[in-house]
Amino acid sequence: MSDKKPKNIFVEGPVSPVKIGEDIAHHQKKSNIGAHSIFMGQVRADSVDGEAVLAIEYTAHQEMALLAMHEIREAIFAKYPLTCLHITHSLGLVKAGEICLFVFASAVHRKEAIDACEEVVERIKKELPIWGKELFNDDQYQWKENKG
Amino acid sequence: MQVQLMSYGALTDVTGSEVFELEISQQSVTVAELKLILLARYPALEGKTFRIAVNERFVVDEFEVLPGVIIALMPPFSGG
Repeated sequence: MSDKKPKNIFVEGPVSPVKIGEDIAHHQKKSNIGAHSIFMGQVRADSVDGEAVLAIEYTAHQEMALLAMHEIREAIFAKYPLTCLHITHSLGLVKAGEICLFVFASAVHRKEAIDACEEVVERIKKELPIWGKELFNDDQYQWKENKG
Repeated sequence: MQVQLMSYGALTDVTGSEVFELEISQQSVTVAELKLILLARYPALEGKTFRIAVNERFVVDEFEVLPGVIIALMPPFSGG
């Protein structure tokens, strides 16, 4: 592991589509990039016993999550020739239909961008100490479970 | 000794709060012993899957818990 300081990935509330657009625009200056692969996780209004999920409230062990993300980042850069990699994850309340996770991998060619993006998303879901509480009407809730 | 605990996700429903303290009669216990102490205090932990971190590092059952540490109780992750 390098001695670089872990980058923050968390934002309070949803990841705004404006921020996503701006992030894409910022890469126009990096003319060595030939491919971006983007993943956006959106809160789904799942129906549980006839009740729809209205929002997910995210909490995290932030220090451990940032350390784990840092290790994932280092491993991904060692495995794939990426130009850059940006990750944003929500904390707090994200309503159904809003974006809660944004992964943005850029490379010279498409294959490494696509493969790296997919691997980062899978590892985030498995390895980052983040929890989602699915909120329904009338203060009802259930804890989200990530499927394999 | 006294240790500080933090619970996350569904475990906060079991412990009733996100941050709490635990008074333990011994001056050190292993993580396995700590789990038994927690189970006695929170019987609803029985059968729950969770990992323990001490001072932000995941530890095994044999790890020795000393006074003043911060212990995190973490159920399966569900980010993204």
